[in-house]
Amino acid sequence: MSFVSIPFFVFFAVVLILQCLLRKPRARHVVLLAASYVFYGWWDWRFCGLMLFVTAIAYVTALAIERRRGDKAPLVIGVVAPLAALFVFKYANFFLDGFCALFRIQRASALRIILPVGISFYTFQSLSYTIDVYRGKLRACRDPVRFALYVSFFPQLVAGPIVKANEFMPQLDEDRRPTPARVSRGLTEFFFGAFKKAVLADNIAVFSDAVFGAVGAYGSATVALAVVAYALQIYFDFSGYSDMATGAARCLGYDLPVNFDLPYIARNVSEFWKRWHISLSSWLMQYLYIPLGGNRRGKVRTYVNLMVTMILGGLWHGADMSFVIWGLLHGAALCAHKAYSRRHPPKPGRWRRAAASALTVAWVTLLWVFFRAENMGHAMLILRRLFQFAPGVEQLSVWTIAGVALLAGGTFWCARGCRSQADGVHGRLPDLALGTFWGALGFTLLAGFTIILMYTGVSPFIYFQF
Amino acid sequence: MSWKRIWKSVAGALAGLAILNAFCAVYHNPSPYQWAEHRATDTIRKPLSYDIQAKEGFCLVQVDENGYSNPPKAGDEEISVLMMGSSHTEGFNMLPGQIVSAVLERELRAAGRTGRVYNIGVSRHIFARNAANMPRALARFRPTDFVVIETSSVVMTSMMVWNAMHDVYPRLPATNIPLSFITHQPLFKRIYKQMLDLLFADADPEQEEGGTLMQLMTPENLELYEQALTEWFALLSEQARAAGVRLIIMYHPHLIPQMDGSFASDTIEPCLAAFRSACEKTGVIFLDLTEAFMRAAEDEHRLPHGFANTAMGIGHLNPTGHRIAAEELCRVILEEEAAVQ
Repeated sequence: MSFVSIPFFVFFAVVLILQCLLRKPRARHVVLLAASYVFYGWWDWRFCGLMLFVTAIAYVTALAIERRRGDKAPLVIGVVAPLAALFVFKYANFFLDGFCALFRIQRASALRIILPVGISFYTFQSLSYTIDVYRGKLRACRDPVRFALYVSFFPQLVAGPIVKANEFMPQLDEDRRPTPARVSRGLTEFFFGAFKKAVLADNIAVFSDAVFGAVGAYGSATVALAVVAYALQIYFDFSGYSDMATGAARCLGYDLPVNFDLPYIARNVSEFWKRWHISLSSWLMQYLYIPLGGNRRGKVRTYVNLMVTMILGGLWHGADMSFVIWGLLHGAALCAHKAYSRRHPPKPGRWRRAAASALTVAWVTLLWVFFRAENMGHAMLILRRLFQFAPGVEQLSVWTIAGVALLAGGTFWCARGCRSQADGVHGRLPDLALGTFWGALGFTLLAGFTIILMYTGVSPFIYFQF
Repeated sequence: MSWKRIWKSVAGALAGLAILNAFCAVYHNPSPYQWAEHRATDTIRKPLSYDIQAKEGFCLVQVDENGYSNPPKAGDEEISVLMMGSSHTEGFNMLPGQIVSAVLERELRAAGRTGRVYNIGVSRHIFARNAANMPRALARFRPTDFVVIETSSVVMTSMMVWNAMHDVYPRLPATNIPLSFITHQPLFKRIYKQMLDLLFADADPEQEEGGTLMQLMTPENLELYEQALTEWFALLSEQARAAGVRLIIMYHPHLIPQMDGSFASDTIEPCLAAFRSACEKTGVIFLDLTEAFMRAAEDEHRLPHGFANTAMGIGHLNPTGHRIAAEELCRVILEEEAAVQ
């Protein structure tokens, strides 16, 4: 069930009304849990079994960890079992292919395994919970309904943000319910995200998909524009989904963490990862980079840790060598920036900052080629075509130009407000209070333009596949 | 919530709707369909109205007094070429001077020919439906030389052929039912269209109806297919001859760019062969634009379908496609006339 679909609007309206009507928090939790499984099972009911398995493992092992302090066995089971499920469903074919290629073995056929939607997201959530309980940062949850709701909460279930247990579970202890102010704010966020996804990302995707699908037929200028288009598409798609998830959760009474904070104004790759998919970056930092030793074990080890973290981060996105290369190149850029900034502390200056941002966004945009490509061969073909300056079909994409203009204008507007506010971009989203003239006008325009301009073909969220 | 706040909220929403309505008036404001009493086509656009569309390409077309996409009538010059077709021929993604009929008229005049090229293409009118309507269209508009029917598919189901030959096609619905003031507002029309598109995202009537035939494509069936087409086209040819004109079927496939830089057409070759053979046997002129499109793609790197706000190779004919179609039609018409003389 996609957020931008008529079934979801009906489903969400029913859930929201039930949340308003039910008085007891326990009843609301049960309804939300049931709704989350219906939402997930809408794709394929068999997926629910896997989610239930991951939930049960995390629930039981966390209780065992707390009961048997010092015993690492429950932790190992709690970490290995969900990772094993993730490995089987997502990476089995990738590693089998690699193994066969290494030893020159002919594989009869690939394993026919369906990749369950959002498996990486809820696996990481359950892992963070198990590890936090082991570290003593969190008490194990004894209520299976509340814990299952944390893992399966439908607004963020299939494409994040990855919510850590200590961010979400305390909210379940409070008496949270929809209020007019929350619904008003949540709907604004939801339609803001829907505009980014259904209007900008999907219309841009028509162009970028066409070019990447037949890259050899297009001229270099158009391929370059398609690379820019994809950078826009993935930002509008993923941040749009995050906004919709945050908005839907807010309507229901819950707060999700900010996942994007003007990533394309970052002045270096390190800053980019503090602004892009923040929930994944912070997860990797807390549960991978720091346990590996972080930057506490010397220069060389720091660089190795960065590379390992980014390569695994790349692999998290998909089982293909192109994702590994994407992660590796980001890791290399992070190492290069760390080495450079040790010798050259940042200097003030508007133009210097603008040049650094331009360089960073150019690098990040170029690396999206590996992310978008179907495999390494496709990535190399795109890059060859890009720098070959060969003639071909040329197209000026109106939606890409509009996307660049809107993103530049929006980023400039938000960045100006940034100086005085510490919170993320969500803090600067205009609060369209529906009880005021300007609020109702703004909301009508936002929702109206989303409906009028939305792409109506089939276009799933990019991050659903992860 | 106080009444004051509610009124403010309602006023804000109404102001927003007014702004959206004004935006839709210049973004997507199609002229409504009306039933054509003469049945030259099932429907026409509202006569002497404007049609604005910026979703795929951009058009600002003035609909003529008959409800078709033509420039305002200049004098009483007779019609020499009548063009029938779907939204491609109608050209509701183009500026008026770029539509195939307008370009063809210019080309023919440059070659010393007189007479108008009159375009009665209307969206949703697939080939078989136009073939069924052709006798009435010829009686209504009385072209002197040629009637052209455009098609983007050479796959016809037995139901299409039957309906067309026996003139029993169910009539296309019109949307000019005077429900209320609201249904005529650009915003309502746009939202209605979006909802329909959301519900029926991939429905292409021509391809959908033809889809089942693809699975049944055996040599025996193809022979039967060609026989049915031959019988049908013989009837069409006879109807055209009776009206004193020759029939041209203009086929324009989509060219799909390939990863290796080549281009492939979406033609189903055995069906195209059957189509061509049936035309040859019945004296119908068959204009296949595949080669001309391919030359433009390979030599000029231009594709005949797609716009700057969609993608190349998909959707409707673009200015390049209309230009090529007009040039090829002009060439065929002049060759045919030279052959007759």
